[in-house]
Amino acid sequence: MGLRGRDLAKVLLLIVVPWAFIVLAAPLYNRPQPELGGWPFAWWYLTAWVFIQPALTYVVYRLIDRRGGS
Amino acid sequence: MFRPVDYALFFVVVGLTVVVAFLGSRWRAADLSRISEWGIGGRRFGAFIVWFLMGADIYTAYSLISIPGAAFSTGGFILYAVAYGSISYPFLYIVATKLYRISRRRGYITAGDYVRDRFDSEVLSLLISLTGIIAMLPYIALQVVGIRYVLEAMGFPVLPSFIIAYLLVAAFVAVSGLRGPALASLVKDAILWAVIITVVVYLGVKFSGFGPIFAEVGPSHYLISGNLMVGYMTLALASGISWLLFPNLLTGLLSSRSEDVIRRNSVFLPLYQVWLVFLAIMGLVALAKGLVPSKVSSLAFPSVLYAYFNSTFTALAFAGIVIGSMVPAALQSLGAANLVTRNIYLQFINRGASEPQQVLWGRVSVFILIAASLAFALTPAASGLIFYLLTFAYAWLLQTLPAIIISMYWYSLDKYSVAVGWAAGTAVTTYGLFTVRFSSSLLPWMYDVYAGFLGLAVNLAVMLAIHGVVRTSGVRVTSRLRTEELE
Repeated sequence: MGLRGRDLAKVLLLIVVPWAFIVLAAPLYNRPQPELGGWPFAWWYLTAWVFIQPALTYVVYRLIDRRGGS
Repeated sequence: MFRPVDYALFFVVVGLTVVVAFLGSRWRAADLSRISEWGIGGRRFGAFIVWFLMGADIYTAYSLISIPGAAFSTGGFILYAVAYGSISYPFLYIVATKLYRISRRRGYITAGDYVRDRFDSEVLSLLISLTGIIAMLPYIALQVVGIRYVLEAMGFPVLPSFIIAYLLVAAFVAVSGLRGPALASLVKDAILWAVIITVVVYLGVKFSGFGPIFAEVGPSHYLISGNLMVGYMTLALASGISWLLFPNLLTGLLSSRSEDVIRRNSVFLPLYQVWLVFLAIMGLVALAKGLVPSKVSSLAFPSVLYAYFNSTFTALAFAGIVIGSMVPAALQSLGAANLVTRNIYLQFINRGASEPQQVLWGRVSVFILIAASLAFALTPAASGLIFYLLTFAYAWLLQTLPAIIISMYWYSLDKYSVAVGWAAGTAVTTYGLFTVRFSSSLLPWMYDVYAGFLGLAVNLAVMLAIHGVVRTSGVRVTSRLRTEELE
């Protein structure tokens, strides 16, 4: 990937995806069902994103910026 | 009721934190007469310290008191705090590393330093810096008000306790600079992690994973109420792009040893978001079990502690809440003091100020800012739902987004467009907050949109219009930064 492609992938994974799934999807995730362990969908969905987004950020860090580790 | 041993534990924890903060001045022996050493810890903190420091900076009395309180009173709407945190970190990964790079190269301590050079304008720098300073006051006031009920519950006289606690804060910041709250944040976060994990595990077992709690409060409370959906989304989105604009957070970010420290922390800091989820659930527990006397929402989390834990653990948790308000207040007053020193004193009062003179000004400013915030905390506006105090700060700071963030990417952006946009955005935001008498930050006369979001929209529209005029009229635009210095 060239510089442009890399920048685009970063904007996608660090801005477009989180804004779409965490904020703009609110009318879709604002519902009780399906429940998980008694937690309503809205609550466990956003809790899941507390972990999903850092994983995506880590992917950017390792694979696109090629930092950390060896 | 608290026993003497509980009070002893409380004072040991708070006292230890304050002592550690004073000892910060000796940590990694540095020359504290240099403003970069006092103000941003000499840019030498590694990923571990920055994790604790930023944790103390972001997760404050607001998280511990206002989030359970808002979950108790307004229910699912509080999920906006979980949502905006999750979009803030990846955004920082992009914009904070860039501002860090530019600042390190040119030796900037504050956003005002950057704006001055970027736009070759001390006036624009002053406007942006004043916004930062003024926005810190309700934020510090929120820390003060946040511990009111804890102090009352422990039977302390409120006003003298406020004054003693925050004079100590001002004193350790003045003495140690950023090293004080940085070292104290290790104590603060260690205790709060221990308290929150204990509470969540114990109550999680007691309430079978909190499922029954959700069932008891019902969907009408735990979901975001449909008519507030625009407010929810605009508040989350606008808040999620504003962290870099906070003087206290920028102070923390600039103290990093390298860009890589910031990158790694945008992966690991979000772990703190787990606090918000469970603290919000504590608000639901308080509601489901009817624990809160006379519906005072700020009592939600303290009431849960009171109801289910013995007095010793409650005293420990209360100490955690108190230091969870003092350490962030230290960082906020330091962030604002850096602006006063660098962008008011150095730019307008004494251009030739030596480094020790700047540090002296910083130290005096900390006391003035803490005193002003205490005064603010005692006004009627602060006694209502303190949850909204922070959204005011966010709303005003958001209007500095073009000057600080957009300007790093748009090289031909000029000072006139940014200044007029800022003025329009700030006016609209303030007018919006005025129409709801500063009791909320959502505007019922426009789909409950967030005042700061509306202000930013107007700000950007005006900025683009003026920029068009500037371009066509051929006004000369200057910058002290070359294009390659913005890379």
